[in-house]
Amino acid sequence: MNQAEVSQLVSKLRIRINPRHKNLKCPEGPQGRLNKLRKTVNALFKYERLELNYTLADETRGYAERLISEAIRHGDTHKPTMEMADYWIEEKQLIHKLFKVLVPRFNDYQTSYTMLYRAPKAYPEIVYPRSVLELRGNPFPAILPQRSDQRNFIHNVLLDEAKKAYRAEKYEEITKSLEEQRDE
Amino acid sequence: MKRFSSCLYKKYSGSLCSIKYVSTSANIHPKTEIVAYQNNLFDNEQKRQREAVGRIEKITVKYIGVPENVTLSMNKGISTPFHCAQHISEMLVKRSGLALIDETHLWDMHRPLESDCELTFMHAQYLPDPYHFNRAYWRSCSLILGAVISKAFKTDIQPTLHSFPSPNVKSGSFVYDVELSNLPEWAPTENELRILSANMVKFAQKSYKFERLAVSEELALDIFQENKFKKEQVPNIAQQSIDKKVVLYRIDDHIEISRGPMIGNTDLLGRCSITAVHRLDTKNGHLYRFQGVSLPVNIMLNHFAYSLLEQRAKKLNAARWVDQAQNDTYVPQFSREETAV
Amino acid sequence: MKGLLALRRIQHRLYTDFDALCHMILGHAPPPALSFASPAETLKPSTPALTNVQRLFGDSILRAVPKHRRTIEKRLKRKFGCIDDFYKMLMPRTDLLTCNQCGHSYQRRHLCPNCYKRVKDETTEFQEVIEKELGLEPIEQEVVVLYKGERTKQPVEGHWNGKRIIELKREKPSWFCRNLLQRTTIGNSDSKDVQPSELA
Repeated sequence: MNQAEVSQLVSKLRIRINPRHKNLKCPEGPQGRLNKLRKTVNALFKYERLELNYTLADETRGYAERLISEAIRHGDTHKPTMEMADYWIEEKQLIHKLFKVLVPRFNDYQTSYTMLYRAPKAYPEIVYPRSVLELRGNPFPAILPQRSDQRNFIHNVLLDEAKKAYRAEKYEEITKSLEEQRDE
Repeated sequence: MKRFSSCLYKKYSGSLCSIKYVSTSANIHPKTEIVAYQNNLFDNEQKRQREAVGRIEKITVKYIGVPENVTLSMNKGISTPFHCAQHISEMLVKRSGLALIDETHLWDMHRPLESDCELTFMHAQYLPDPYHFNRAYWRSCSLILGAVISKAFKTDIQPTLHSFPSPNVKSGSFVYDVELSNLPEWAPTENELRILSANMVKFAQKSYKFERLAVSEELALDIFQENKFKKEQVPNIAQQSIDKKVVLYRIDDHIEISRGPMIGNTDLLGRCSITAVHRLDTKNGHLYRFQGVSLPVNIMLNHFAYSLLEQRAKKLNAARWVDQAQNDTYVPQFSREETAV
Repeated sequence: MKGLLALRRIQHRLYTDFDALCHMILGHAPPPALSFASPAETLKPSTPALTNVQRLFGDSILRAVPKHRRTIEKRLKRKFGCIDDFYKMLMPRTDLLTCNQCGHSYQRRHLCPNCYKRVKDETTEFQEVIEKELGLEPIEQEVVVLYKGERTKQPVEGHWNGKRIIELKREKPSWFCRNLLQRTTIGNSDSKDVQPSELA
């Protein structure tokens, strides 16, 4: 059977998408689920950092990332993308934000556009697992500390030196073999 | 030995605290008496120094750091950075290995504070650079290795501990040089190395404190009278130090000479493996260089990367002792690389 | 599970050994006609009464069903463990770690509650200010929130070019670090001021 080149049609999202969606427990059914998701995506673009239950955050992440990737891929003159943005974003000033702020921000990203953290348990007030969903590059203080300064930790120091020693050995071997070849 | 045991007899009849070191087992290791004697001297000196403090005066210690900046009022000459950590937070007690006084002096966790100061703690993940902690950790690993070696061998083999060179983390291994009297040619098997590593970890898990003591040259000579190498090192060390004192460290009942700061407690030792034993030919005979690699408790590393570190640590560590570096009289001609099978 | 298997075995037995079944129900041996039934018709009964019985047993037999309501005492014993009946071993939790920044405990793979609370309070303030400032106009620029006195401290001229600046009238909190270095109380270790005393 001819399988369409899916990678040509849709960008590969750099997040995990579950095989089956979550029902999200709406009285209106699947339509209600989409309404809920639409509101959350809207809020994510507006506030750039949300604290919600884990399942809802996980669901909206997929939709938000897909929307951003479509906007990057096609731009704002592409009618289907515009219609999608119009549907998913309720507050219309955020459509401008999507194409004029978020697209240039995420244009060259090699990572996902959103981050999802597991929030601490708010037991006993809240029973469901909580999470924090945010767009990368937001103007707020970072949730996790930067990890770029671990170069001097003991294991990194040891590994760097081991790498250097190994390389030195390899170079020696290569030069030896070259000399042997030359001698021959 | 005769002269020695006569000394020992005198000591036993005199003091009370030596009784706990007397072995009740049938075959008494010849070393236990020596160890008991050493520890006796150490304890007495410790007690003497503590009593010499006299009237207890107060000092203010300003702690700067996480979780909050705190000003403490501590006892001069008695309170240690460890006590300060206990006042502030359990997290500091568990993870701190070294203290930094006034941003200039490195201080052991169990060394009494002398004056008003500003205090910070160093740990394995200290930012921006845990360089000093790493060095102290490496030094402490060598010390623990010495302690383990002195007890690891059977009664017919007498290990005489020589010393360990200045710690160099970048060399990839920590080192201890030992003379094994009845083993002229020895290459350890893999199992023997594993046993040593296991002993290191088991020893460290018992959470021994590193007790620091600055003693006079005579007392140091008295303590190390049966160790020919250390007897020679003591006068040099005493000469080079500022106040003519020799700094000793003790964990459990093992006493060692070392200048530098050590970590506070052996339970900071996480993973450890003794990777190789190389034979050195010195002017005064053969020495065995025990090499190992280790990581502190909170550092996570997968087993493959750790195996790379172990492989590197198997190679001969060509570090020289302090005396060598300065006098260059002992130039060890390293025999052919005898790595473990 | 074991109970179910046992029931299945019994069921199979009863299907195959119909004599035993009849004995069990009727109390006496089954009628001789059945005992000598041909192999092909072993399970075909001759009288309608037995058909009903067999049909009844063929449909549902010995399905386990709760006979009595479980009392609250029994339920709680099962839930929380009871030394004699439902022993539940207390296991230590190994997923609680200590935060290196604030010293509070946090769950592994989760955020530290103390640190996160600080960040959350700051973020909500930012968000309120931003919402008020931007309103409903189309958003066409990146937003940057600066503290008191930060506007003049820009490292490069035109650092905030193309960005919408929103100012807060507060001082920057000590724990907020936008640059790579963590909260620095001690300077760089490259400084040669550190003199370890009597180091080997």
